[in-house]
Amino acid sequence: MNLASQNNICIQCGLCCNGTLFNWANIEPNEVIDELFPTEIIKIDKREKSVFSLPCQFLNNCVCTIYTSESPKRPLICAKFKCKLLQKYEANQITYSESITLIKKTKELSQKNDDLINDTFPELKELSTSKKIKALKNKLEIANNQAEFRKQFGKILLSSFTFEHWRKKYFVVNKKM
Amino acid sequence: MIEKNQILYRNSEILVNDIDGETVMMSIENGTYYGMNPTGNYIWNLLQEEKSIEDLLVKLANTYNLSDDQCQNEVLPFIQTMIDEKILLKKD
Repeated sequence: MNLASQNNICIQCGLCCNGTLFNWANIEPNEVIDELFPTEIIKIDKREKSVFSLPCQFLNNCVCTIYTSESPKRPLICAKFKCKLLQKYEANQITYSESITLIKKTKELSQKNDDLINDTFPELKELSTSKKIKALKNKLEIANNQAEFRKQFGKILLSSFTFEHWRKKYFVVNKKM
Repeated sequence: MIEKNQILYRNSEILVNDIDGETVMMSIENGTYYGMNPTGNYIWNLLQEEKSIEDLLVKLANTYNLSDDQCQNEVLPFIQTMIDEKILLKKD
């Protein structure tokens, strides 16, 4: 593992910033963030936290463009965050080539899932993968989680769950207990 | 108590997706999602046609080189969970 290939992994991925894996990114306590980042307060386990919405507008083809002089200061989380895959790569638990293969596979899966959702719910077309899945869950909730809805949209729900399962398995860092 | 001569079959109300050798399932009935471990995956694949629990145990024991104790104390409770979750159904 070296820093150059670690950066290479990130610039071939971009999944943590483009809304595929996450809806939002944390704002650190006491951090003042530029108004160009659309922020919101969300509630997790009854605790409120400040976040900014993803996809990030400063991402361009998997590369962060925030370093130009007119851009605002980069949020702290951007430098701090390391997905599970990157952590495994740093710990020599996965090779560079395996990491790239996994990223490609994830992009394929996400595209497949996006296409399925877009075909059935065109109104969600403009949303990122993660927000599409959230919107799908909302639809299920509005339908009172009825079996009829699950039967009608079973293929999409299963595909979205499969993607979530995959995302958690390979990218989401488990919280320390 | 689970009877080993009990015939089991797949619940057709379970939707299945395979991803890189891993099986992910969703119950249409109750909306629960399951990520199957290799044993669950193997059992599900064996049950393309209905089988007795005894048959399942023999095949699992041969494939994974399991002792009688392991079948009794680990596999049987797992099969019972799959039945309780209505992933597998008992034939009357």
